[in-house]
Amino acid sequence: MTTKPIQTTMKLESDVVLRVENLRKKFCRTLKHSMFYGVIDSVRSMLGVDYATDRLRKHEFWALGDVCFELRKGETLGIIGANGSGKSTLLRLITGIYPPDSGRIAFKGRIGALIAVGAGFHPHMTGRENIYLNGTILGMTRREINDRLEEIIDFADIGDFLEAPVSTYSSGMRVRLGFAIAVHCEPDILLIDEVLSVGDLVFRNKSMRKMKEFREKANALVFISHNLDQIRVLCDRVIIMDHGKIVFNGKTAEGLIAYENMSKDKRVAVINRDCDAQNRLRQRYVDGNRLVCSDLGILNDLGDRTSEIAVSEELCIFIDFTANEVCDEIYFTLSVLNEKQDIDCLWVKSNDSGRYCFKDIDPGAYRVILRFKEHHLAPGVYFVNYAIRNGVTSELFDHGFTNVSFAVKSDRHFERGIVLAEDEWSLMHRR
Amino acid sequence: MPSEITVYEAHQRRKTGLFEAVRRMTIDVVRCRELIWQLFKRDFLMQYKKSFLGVGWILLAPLIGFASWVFMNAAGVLKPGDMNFPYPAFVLISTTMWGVFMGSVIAASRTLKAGQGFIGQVNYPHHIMLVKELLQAYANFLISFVFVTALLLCFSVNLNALYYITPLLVLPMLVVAASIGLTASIINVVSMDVEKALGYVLGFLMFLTPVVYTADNKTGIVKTILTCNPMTYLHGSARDLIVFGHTDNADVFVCLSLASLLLLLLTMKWFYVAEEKVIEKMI
Repeated sequence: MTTKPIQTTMKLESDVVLRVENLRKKFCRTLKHSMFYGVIDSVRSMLGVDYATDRLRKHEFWALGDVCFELRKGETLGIIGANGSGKSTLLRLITGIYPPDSGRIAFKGRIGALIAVGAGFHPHMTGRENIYLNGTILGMTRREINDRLEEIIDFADIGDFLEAPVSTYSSGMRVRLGFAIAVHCEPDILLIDEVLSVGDLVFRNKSMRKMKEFREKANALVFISHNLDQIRVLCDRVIIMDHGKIVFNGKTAEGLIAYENMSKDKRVAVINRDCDAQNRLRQRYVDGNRLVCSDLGILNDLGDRTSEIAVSEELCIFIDFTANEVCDEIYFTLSVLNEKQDIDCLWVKSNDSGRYCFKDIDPGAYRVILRFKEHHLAPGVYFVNYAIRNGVTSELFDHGFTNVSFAVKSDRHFERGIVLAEDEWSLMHRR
Repeated sequence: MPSEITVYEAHQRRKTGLFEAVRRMTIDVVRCRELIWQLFKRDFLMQYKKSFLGVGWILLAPLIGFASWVFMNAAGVLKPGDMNFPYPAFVLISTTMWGVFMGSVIAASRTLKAGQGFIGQVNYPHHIMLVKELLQAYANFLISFVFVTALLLCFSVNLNALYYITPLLVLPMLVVAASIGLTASIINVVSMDVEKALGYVLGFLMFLTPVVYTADNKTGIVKTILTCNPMTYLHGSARDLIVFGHTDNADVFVCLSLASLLLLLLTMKWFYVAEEKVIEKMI
């Protein structure tokens, strides 16, 4: 049940169903300032005083900044981004729940939003009564609800519970009923915010089929999800949002790769933030001061420290250490762990089969470099751990779990796993 | 795909004039009548569903009020002055009428908060909640009015013909209540102080208004306050008409009733513009 639209003389091209132009929205970080600005703004409105809303006041920030995009008829647009990137705010602005602070949204037909299922459900009302209530809240007329009642009941699949109060439903049944009502509203443009993951497997599959059906009716769909697989299957195009801005707007396949790489960059940046040579090394076990590691990291082709490599690039890890006494022989063990740090994806020992024995180490500062010409690591985020031992007695000089992380990037979508291998598939009839 | 284009822009409502804002709000109310009805049903019928007394709660308040005034009158605590009407019945009618004012102010102040369960999920015209809330307050009044009437008839209280148009005579009070409540609903979103203060202020206002006494023969500061208080006329004159069949301030009552309509129109326009400035603070 949307507010009565305000008509303007604005025109949209025949196949454009939604246009967002230079959209901006600001919020306030502190409750006290939010209250204060609320009072000021309401009084100004009461007095009819004109004031600019496109400037930030103290503690305000842009939740959305200059967002522009178009949606064409029959298109399914995916919006992805980290939490707090502005996806839901954008959806609420398009739906008309929030007014913009500047910019404009124009659309053809009726917009429906699936932001949360079961809006306005009353626990003491029966499922049937709540269908009428929720359906009306979502903008359906009584006649439309009557016409679709059987479909809604079938879709929700709640059996005899239909005549029972909603308070007696399980949480799964409640969301199924809410979802069933919402998907039968049949707006011209449907906005979905992360609600396709409700219910059990059977219901989720049913929901996905319903979405496909909706797409085939040539209506436009805007779909927000963290489930990249759903985005890949449902969307023709994706928008990546970051800090309230659109940083990518293009084909789904390219968008997903860009998003995965961006996410890895962010994770590595967070890990490496404020991480100087001292605190890169954590949980260390050092035997006195005889031989200690001072730094560890990844190098690029130019020999500079880096935090990302491509799947096709060699992996080059260095360990800087200082020997404070003479050592006859030393060796290194080094492991590359997955992001959760529960699997050793690579583990190597320098003196395996007597290959690299570093002998007669005099006091001084050293750097040892380890190269993997072909690392076979799948795209993802990895950590590096090390140990330095005496090659004769196997005494442990220094062993540390590190905060050193790096991202392996690819221009191909890779969903999960830790090893990258060329795959080839074929399908044939079996005799 | 329909070709009708909807546009959302910044400050869309700021330039809207008084009559245009009221026209749009009225259109929304008519268009969303089914939603108003569904929400009214939900909140009115369901408020007593999980209760043994049910709708009896609406009747309990006047009944207890009636009993306490009868007791105080019998104990000689009250000296209401000379009136040609049983004092407990006078108080019962008067407080029931005040109840609709107080209930409507509080109900209207919930205009935005009434949709809290879905205001962040669905775009609906928020002002329709004012109608739903007022309907609810008015329905509660009608139930207690029927009960009070039955009670008075049981006690053989002589009611004049004007008594039966009480539901119409309280409408100006309802309009004032809507204006106050609508203003409070905006401020309620920003700060909870108004919501908390409203109960105290209305309780105090009752004693500044001749609800449990008449305005006759008052002198000094009390007379000044009663003369300046618009509720003296909106409530007192209506009550005098109902109870005694006449009022000395019929002209002031009519003027204030018209003024209250104008006040409501102005408040509606302000609500229309101001609510979009505060709505995101609800969520």
